[in-house]
Amino acid sequence: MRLDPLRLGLLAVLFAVLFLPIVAVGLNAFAVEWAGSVLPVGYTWGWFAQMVADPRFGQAVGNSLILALGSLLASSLTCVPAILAAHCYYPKLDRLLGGLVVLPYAVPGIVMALGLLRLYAGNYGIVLTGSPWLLIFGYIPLGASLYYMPMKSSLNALAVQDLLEAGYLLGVGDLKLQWRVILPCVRQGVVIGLILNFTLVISEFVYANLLVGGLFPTMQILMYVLRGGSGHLLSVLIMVYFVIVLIATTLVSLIVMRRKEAL
Amino acid sequence: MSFVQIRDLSKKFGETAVFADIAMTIEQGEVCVLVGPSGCGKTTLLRVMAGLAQPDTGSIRIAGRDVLGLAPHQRGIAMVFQNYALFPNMTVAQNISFALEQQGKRGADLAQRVAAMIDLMELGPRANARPAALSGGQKQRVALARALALEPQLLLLDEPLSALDAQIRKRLQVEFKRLQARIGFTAVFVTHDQEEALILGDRIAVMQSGRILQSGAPHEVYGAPASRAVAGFIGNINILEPQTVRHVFGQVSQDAWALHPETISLSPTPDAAKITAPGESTDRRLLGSTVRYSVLVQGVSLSVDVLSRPSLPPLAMGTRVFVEVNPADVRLLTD
Repeated sequence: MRLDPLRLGLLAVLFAVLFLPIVAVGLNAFAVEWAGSVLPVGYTWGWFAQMVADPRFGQAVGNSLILALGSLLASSLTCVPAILAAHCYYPKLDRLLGGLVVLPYAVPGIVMALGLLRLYAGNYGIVLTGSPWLLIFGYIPLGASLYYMPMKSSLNALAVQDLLEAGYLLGVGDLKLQWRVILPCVRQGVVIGLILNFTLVISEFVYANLLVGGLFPTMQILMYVLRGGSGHLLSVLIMVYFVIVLIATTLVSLIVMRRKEAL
Repeated sequence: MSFVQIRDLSKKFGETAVFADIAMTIEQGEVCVLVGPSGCGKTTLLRVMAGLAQPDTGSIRIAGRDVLGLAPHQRGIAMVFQNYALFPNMTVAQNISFALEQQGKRGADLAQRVAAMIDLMELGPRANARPAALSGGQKQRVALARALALEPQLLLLDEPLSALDAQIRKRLQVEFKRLQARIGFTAVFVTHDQEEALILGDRIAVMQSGRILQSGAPHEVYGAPASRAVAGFIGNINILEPQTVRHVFGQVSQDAWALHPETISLSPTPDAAKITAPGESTDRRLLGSTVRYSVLVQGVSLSVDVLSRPSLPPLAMGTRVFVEVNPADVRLLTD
């Protein structure tokens, strides 16, 4: 395909709009000084060294990873079976689920956060206030739609009922059919859900701040704390965040690609 | 006692009867074709036989055993689905071996059986391909291999060839017949295609509106349809009501006539030994080995099939001819 100059120009503008902010943050993270000039005056690893030496950095990265992985585990163990069960066995409930999963995005964050605080503050016998568990469980409703959409897309492409019935005729039970046939067929949808959930949790600030705040500081909370101080240190933290998300999504994509090649 | 016995089988969805009072027998090694228009209940009947749906009344016995209370996999049944229902994440070989694993087959025994089925269905070069990489015909062969690998007492096939194009369909019909002759399995084959039913069935059962209208050997059902509905569905039979018979041929009959297109001949002069009437050809379609004419007789259009011969030029439109029927070829419809 040949690109004419107009298309090339539009692509260049799009590329610039998307990537210039990231490039600017990256440059700022390495800049000795950057004010009143197009490019920084000198480059240094010093800000990185200073950030790594800060005990809050390690704690924030660690907490963010604990939250992200914990939330991935909790949300995948609850959402994936629920979506499969609703699609395969309870089509009426599936329609309800389709509406429910978008609800957390229709309700303002503050309302959701207050609801979660009320739910987990001991009013119903569950006390999770101030602990990361509150966030881990709190992120499940947010993550549900991120599994639901890509998984439904994969499931709709399958003749699930026929596959289940073919399995029953062979004497295969539901659990084994889900594990050996249905789940592998919707693996791509699940993986997309995992990536989106990881990105959501590691970049989420509103819930983390409202529900747990300083009791379990995450990278986003540390970014908030650093916003009034050195812009270079904040840029370093943002770059670390980008790198973590990049590594996680690349790893998952590589796994999916390898599996697809094996298909 | 017949190998498969179905008695008084009825099924309703809500207040709507899907089928009622179905009674049918199938002998061992026989292919019974259930044929009927879409929505007549044939697929639901098959699903009830498989145990994927429950009937409201009736009984099903296979090899002397009442199977209605049994789970699908305990009935000794295998099924080939209309859209194949192959497991998309498994290769051809894995689809077959997965089925056999459920029967407890392992190791060399399993590998040997899988290889035998792949060989039987001539799927060798595609053994490690996944369903998405197969053609429709190949998918159907895998589905058949997976079903036959289980050595079922009864094989159920739900319109297995309907999604294929005409050429592949014809080839698979021949392969199915050859395979059945070789293995001798007992099968119920569902189709809405009359021609397919006549080709594949040792016995055919014509279904309409949830009832079996007629059951018998293909030549019996085709040659002597028991009712207008069967005559109207099987083949392209001319059905003439008694008053039309009188109007067209000047014959008095209490019953309607069923005239097969191939039993009517066209002649430039009338034959006194036959029932004849003058007409005019109005349409002509070449169907391969035959030419189908529409002949207008006393205002009534009759379909007439004539053998196609390259040496004989076809009749021109508007040609005046005599249609002739041998009295022995007239089938009376008593319903």
